[in-house]
Amino acid sequence: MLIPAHPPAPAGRDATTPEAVLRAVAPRLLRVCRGVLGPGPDAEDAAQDSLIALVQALPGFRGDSSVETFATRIALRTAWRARERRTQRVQRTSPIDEGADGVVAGVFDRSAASSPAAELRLIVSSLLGVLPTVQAQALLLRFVLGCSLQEIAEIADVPLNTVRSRIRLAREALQRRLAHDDRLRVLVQEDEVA
Amino acid sequence: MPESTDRLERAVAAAFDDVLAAQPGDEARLAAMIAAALKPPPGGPPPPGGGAAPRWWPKLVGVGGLVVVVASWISAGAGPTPRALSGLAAEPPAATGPRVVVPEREPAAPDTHVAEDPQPNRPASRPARPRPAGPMSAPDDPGERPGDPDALLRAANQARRARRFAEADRLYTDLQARFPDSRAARTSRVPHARLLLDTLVRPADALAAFSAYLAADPRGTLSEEALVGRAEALQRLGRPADARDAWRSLLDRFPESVHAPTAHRQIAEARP
Repeated sequence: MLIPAHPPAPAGRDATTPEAVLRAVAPRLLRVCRGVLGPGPDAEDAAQDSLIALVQALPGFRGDSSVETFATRIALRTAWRARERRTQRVQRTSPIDEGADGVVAGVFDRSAASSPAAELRLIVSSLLGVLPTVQAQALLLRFVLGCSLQEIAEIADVPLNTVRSRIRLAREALQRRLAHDDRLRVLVQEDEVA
Repeated sequence: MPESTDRLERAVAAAFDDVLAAQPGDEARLAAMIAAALKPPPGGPPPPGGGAAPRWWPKLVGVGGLVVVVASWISAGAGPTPRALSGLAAEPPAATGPRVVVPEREPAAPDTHVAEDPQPNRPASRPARPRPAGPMSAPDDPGERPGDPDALLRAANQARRARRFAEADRLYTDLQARFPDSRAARTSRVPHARLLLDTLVRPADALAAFSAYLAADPRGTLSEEALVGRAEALQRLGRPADARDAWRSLLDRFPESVHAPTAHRQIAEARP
């Protein structure tokens, strides 16, 4: 589940104050940032930036969605920009060759991945960098963060069917990647059977 | 229609479990982040931190700013400066929806990260970040001669962001010469090295700076960036064998690094 249980506001504190809102959503924002950027200081930096942006945005919050969705949208955008800046910095010196189907050629030394899970993380993470942003974000929200389709629709502010379409395309791209992987191919085969 | 997750979704989610799991110290980390986010920006309007903020306060600030500027204009007998006018153009924070601020990256006191690329188009009216005072929250006065290492690092980073690369280089060098044992000097070696490598095209100096950081602080917060930079510098210097070893060092220390795909590729290409 995307939203970890958050502690109630301490006794005597108003649960509607910005502080209470931040306390409620901060674990979720950190989780989103870690999903986008991986664990480490970059994700923490992005979470901090997201909280600051949220404080600045709260006066304009119109209640069109839940505050959790509103905060998640901010965190996702903030972390995604951080990810793009980081990727640009890396690619400036090491451009990645991409095939026509978006498969990054020659990037993975599969023997170096310590476990299938680590290899799957590498593949998903790489895919996030080559898919169209909306598909990549849908993939992240659904597969990595475990959001429901409805949650994704609210975060992305698009109809449910659009979300379904984005996830289908992202899933197909992921399946194509996995089909080339000896250890992970089984996930695709069983996925297709299911 | 009830949603169900399939095996592929569950496998991906499970693969990221460790990455997303709460880590030791998260509670304190989040508390510090919240406190920093609620801290009012220096000299700026109070954020809605203490209670329910009225939606009209940005407008009030705008009107107040207009009064101040007009008053100063009249008293000085001259028109408002472009800088003062730019202050008037400042957007109120998120008047109609989520407004994502892409803040300058500033390291908090104990941890520092490599600052991002220079952003010359950053609007002058962007509100100051309400972070704790850090070494990169620099004053704008280019004539300031910082007297302490944190101020020097701030000034150097600001010069780099403003694309005053020669000045940034001089300030980083000055910082490292005057305060060699300070945390700011150690930290500065990585952004300085990145500047030397990418912008000033001095890979040998960059290599020395990355190596100096790693020698002084092999487990430092910026060690991943330093390892990547060292490998890139060695490549630029035409030392593929050393570069390959450097990429391997990165993978040994940070097997899950975002740079891991690049490292694998570079190692494969350098294979004799």
